[in-house]
Amino acid sequence: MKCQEAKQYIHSYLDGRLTEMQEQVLYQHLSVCPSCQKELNIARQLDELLDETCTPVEPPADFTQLVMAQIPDTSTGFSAGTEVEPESRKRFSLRRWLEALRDVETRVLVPASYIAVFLVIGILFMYGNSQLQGLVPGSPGNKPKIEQQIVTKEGDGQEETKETSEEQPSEPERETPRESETVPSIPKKTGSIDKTITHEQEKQNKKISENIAVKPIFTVILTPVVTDRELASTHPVFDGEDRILYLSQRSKGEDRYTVWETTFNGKESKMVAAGQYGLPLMQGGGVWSYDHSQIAYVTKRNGYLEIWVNNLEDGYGTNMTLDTTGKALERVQQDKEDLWAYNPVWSSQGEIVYLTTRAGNIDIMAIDAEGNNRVITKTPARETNPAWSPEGERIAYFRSMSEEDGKTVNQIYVVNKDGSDPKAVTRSFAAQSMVPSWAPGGDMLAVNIGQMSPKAERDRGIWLVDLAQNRMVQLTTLGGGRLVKWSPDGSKIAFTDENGVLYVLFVKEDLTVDQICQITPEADADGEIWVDWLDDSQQLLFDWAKPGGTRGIWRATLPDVAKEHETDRTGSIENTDAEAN
Amino acid sequence: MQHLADEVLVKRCLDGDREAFAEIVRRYQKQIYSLTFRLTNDFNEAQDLAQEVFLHLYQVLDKFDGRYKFFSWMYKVATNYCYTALKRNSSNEVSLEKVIDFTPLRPATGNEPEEHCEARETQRLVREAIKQLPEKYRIPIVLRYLEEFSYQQIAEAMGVPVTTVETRLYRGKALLQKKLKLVLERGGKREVSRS
Repeated sequence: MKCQEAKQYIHSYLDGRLTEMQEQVLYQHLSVCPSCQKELNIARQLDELLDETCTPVEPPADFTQLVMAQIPDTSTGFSAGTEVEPESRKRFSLRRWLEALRDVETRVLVPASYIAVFLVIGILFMYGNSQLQGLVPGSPGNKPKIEQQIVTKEGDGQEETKETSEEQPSEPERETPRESETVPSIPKKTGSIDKTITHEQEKQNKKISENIAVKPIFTVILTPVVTDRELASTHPVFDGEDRILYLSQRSKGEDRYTVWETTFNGKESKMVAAGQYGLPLMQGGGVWSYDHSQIAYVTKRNGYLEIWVNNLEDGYGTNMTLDTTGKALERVQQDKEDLWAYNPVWSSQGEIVYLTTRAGNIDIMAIDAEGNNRVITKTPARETNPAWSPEGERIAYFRSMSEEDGKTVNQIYVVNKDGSDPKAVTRSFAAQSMVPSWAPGGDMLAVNIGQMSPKAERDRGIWLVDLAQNRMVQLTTLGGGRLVKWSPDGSKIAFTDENGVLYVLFVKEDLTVDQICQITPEADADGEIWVDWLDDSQQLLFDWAKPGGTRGIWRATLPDVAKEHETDRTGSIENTDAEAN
Repeated sequence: MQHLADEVLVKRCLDGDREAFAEIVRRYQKQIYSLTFRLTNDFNEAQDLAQEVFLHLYQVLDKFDGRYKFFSWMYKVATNYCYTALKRNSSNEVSLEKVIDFTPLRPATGNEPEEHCEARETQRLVREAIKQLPEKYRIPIVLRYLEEFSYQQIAEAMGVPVTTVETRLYRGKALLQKKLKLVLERGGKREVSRS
């Protein structure tokens, strides 16, 4: 696909006019063309501007009178400026209208032919750090401010002539090749920020130089697994052999999902018999146990939020947070916002932690394997985003405490699973969102920090917390979303930015950034992406909804960075640059 | 009267019921006026053009044969009328190749929240840019964003193939993009007055 063609596709894409196949072709092009990515962001912005601008306006109050004053008042019948032929009036019958109307409706209602052929198209995503450097977190879309990287636009004059010349719609415009569609041959400047900061050292280290190195461009292959124009599919997990389990919307617009399974390539999808009852996905529900035999979900069937677990072997559901005192119902009747139990998270031992507002603000509770509830935190602070350590003995969480002097202290804490020994493992950040994820070894946390106060913008991104050495390292300034998840081998971290674009960060053994790959071509429509790593750490399953689209399931195959480094070693040039980001 | 179907009103008009036409005007004045305003970006011009559209509609009402819904047919008539009228006046317009010389963006005043002012200023620039598009691009864009017409509906209203609509929308937006380069590059209304 040529850029000119892609640019036309972009507008049709935003208007929902492309077939699935055309969309894939466009994605493929976008993945190798930063210029067209920028074009997409600009086009979307223009779309929004036009939407906001072209709104209806009220006519003057006396408009009808003004018009009628110019229409001659004749009591003798229809009198218009033109002669009315008697015959044409005869043709004017109600019955004919009705018939014609029926015709029009049937014509309009025939849907565009749907391409059912399920194509597994590998979309090549070629991203280097080069393209990521300019992705400014906090801006709408992944609106890149990457002027320095955008291939200079040539032939503007030529374009101008084209635009103003008479159109020939059937003939797609050709252009002289300008932005090459293959991997750009000239490596570009890339920036990865490696910051090693202990709590004490941090202030002195504020001025940190960036390692600017020329990096090869890597290839991510995206494969659609389950995509449907009408019904959403979400929360995919790989069962370790050859099956993908996922949840699929029961009917359009309904918050009820049934459990499905499919093969690795998305062929032969079928409903899991025991999962046919339709689970809601509200309030962080719909999460799989480690062995995928159970799903914890949140429901309001008894009038207040409860956590139930659905057993996929027999289809039975169990209420895990039953309240026999009547307090839960009483609370929710007094305050509709009260959340008795929500946001369940499984441990590897089959325990669940969840959030509750029953003690006045958000606290964390847990349910053991026998179904007994216990308190993990009950403090004046808000505790959210709980994450189990891999062995299921500790819980990391985000604690936000408003002090009496009006300041807020936002930190990640780690607590034992019996609620003992809670302690801060990070300094406080001027951030409203800090999401922890445990490294597979249980010795480190990755924290996705976002929703920064303006002064703390530089702190946005992915941080590593070394629990043993009490050290923190900022890996990226990209990030700030609600997702962060280590790969099983600890070499990669999947994360989202504040707009909902999914990335994968490749971490070197010395805990510096090797590479960042953008996975989704655009931000997720709801900003909420679910990710499950495959055992090989080279592939991940995720769900994604493009803006205005239906959520579907995709598989990303990541490049073997180490291998590509070897083959590319000859071309790499090291260069240091102290320029601030 | 206001409960009668459009088609019944048309029949009554043709039978000489003046009030029936007044009802049609009342029913669709907002849509037609919005259309003419978004096309002209000028209240006086919009009012004149909207009046002309209704007068023209009155004159050709007998040609309505029920093949389309009245609304679609009316919109087609209105669109054609506007197209011809705009084309007639387009000699007064600024040449297209000329990039719009936007007046410097006004700084926020103390009376209004800054953002509101920025948004308004951005919208002014967008309206101005739309106004300067050639009619053949301006009309599909206004129909698309004002009435949320599908490509098919625009094609019917303008009497051109859908592929032409697609091309015109694309070219129109490409021109707008060029004209609004500054606004878009600064991130739309959010940053527009920080220059």
